Amino acid sequence: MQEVYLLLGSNLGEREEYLHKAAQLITERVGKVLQGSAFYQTAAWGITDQPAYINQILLVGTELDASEVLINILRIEKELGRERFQKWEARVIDIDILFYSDLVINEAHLTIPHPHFEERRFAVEPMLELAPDFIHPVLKKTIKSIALELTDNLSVERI
Amino acid sequence: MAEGNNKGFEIDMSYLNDIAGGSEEFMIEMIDIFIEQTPLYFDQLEEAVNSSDWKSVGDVAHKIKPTLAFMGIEEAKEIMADIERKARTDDNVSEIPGMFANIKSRCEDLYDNLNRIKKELEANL
Repeated sequence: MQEVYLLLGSNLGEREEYLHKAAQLITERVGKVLQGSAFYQTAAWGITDQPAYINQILLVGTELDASEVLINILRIEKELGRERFQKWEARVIDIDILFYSDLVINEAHLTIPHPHFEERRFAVEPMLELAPDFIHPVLKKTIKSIALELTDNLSVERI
Repeated sequence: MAEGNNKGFEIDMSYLNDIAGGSEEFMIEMIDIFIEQTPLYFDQLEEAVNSSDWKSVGDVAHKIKPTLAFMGIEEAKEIMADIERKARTDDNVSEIPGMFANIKSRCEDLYDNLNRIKKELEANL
């Protein structure tokens, strides 16, 4: 079994409900959710007339390889996205693979760890809650020390 | 961009075919995902580019790359990777709006072409 950390985000509609639905589909198709962080709220990316983002990180135990995880995530994003809106400016659900055990993957379609992880407070803070001593396989630093060096000053609030 | 090429992008299904192990149903599903998601990501990218929100540009560009790679749209994927890198490292971000405008206009034919490929695959089901 591999341990994959997924970052979920939603900034449209019943945001918490979308995160719950996504977690349910992830359990069915990717693997068992072993741990989940609290929800964190972040102001929307640079755009002020949109609702705030809610993010959560799930630790999932999976038998799938990283490409299969990605494909199933694309399917879940598509299904949940289609459920409500034909055309949305905001994101019903967004799922990113942050880490896949301690693997480093640089393929055409897949970069793991997520290359922007260490610059995003909305990713680092929930990760700090779940796995402060996890070692980033590229930076070779713990989440704790990444959190201390974070310069992203977007305000992220645990809810 | 002075050196900008305005021709449409080439699609190469061999990579997807490889991943799909020849399953036409799976390839159709991935094409559907591309056709549904990509315009939405492009809208988001455009909004982020217009507001010079480079962090969001980096995130959305990163998000678009996998499906471009699955469809074998290699050149677009490379440009998107370059946009992502520039946005992320704050390197010559003034070039990003031009790169984005170029990639956007060149993507217009993609949907028709992919729909045609999809129909051919469906005929084989």
